[in-house]
Amino acid sequence: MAELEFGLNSFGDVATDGGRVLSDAETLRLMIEEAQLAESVGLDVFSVGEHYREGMVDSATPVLLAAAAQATSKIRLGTSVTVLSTQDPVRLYQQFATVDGISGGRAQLVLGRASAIESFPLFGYDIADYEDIFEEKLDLFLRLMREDRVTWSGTYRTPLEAVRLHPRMPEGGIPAWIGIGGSPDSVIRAARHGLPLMMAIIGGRPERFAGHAELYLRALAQFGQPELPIAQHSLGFIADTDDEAKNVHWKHWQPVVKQVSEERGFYAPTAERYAEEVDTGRSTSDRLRPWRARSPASCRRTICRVST
Amino acid sequence: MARKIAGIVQANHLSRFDLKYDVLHLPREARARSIRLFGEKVAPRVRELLADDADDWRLTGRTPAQIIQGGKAVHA
Repeated sequence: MAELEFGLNSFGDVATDGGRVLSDAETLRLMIEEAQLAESVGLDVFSVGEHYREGMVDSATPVLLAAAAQATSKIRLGTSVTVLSTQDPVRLYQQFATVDGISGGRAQLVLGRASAIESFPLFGYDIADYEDIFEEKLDLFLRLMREDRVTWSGTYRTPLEAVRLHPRMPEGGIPAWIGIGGSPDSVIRAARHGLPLMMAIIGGRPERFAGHAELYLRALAQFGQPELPIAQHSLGFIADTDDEAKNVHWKHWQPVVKQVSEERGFYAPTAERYAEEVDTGRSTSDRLRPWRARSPASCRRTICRVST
Repeated sequence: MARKIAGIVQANHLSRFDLKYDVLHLPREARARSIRLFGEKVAPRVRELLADDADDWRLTGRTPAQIIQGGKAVHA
């Protein structure tokens, strides 16, 4: 096995300092500092999500990554995930070709359908098109990355006639993963397109996703694709001691989950439940605290908040 | 913890493990500490454990985990 890589993902959650809530602008600058810190402690990738909610400042992903590129020199810079469904693939190509150029070839993407759907009404898309729109945009984006001149037509944007975009990405494009939240269809899609798989694991025991990994490898073989990497995104918090990890994380986890539980109608967080999740092996360790839900219903709602 | 991550890496055939470290209103020092421990302590320990243990991953025939309803993926 090649050496395991480690990535650090931010969703642009607004931070505090000495009990004071940072402004959005201060949090943005903190994220750039954290990208530097990630590089200095030897992590391989720093990536940012794409959200459109209060308390999350990760909306203008390529702008953040361009700033992180200037503040770092080795660490790769990506997304976790890019909501391709409500992006224009042409503009996305140009933006990430730019980040890749500025960073000296360190840009990458994880493309997903979004489990948080705020971007659909915000950018004028119909959630009814959720399935088809991703497939079409993925097809176009991959052609733009993999081909020199592209002639294309589809349903969700105007046709392209022998278009060659600039700035150019390297031949073949930049690394692009497919982010999945649990749908086997998405696993198959990644394999069919020959793209590596990023599993965003929000609910249940992480080993549960071994079935997805197997499905992916079988599908790759069936589609005649080479074996491609599988990655996992988990939620966690690491502190010096178990108690500190538990207490600090609970204090900040509880209000967020409480709000989401009220918005979306799943279980309200309790200290007992949290302790149980931490202590019963549903977390990946005694110190790492994945944000884990238990039932399929709560899983998918937690995903809304945390996985796109 | 490193052992658990190493176990997941093997179970899920991973070549990359990403940690989402931020939570709304988490103090900036706690965020920094978490990143530092992840990079300096946890990651090297996981790599060490995996180096000791040859890749014995194989297909188990387990059914893929699903978050689906009526044959379709469920999205909130």
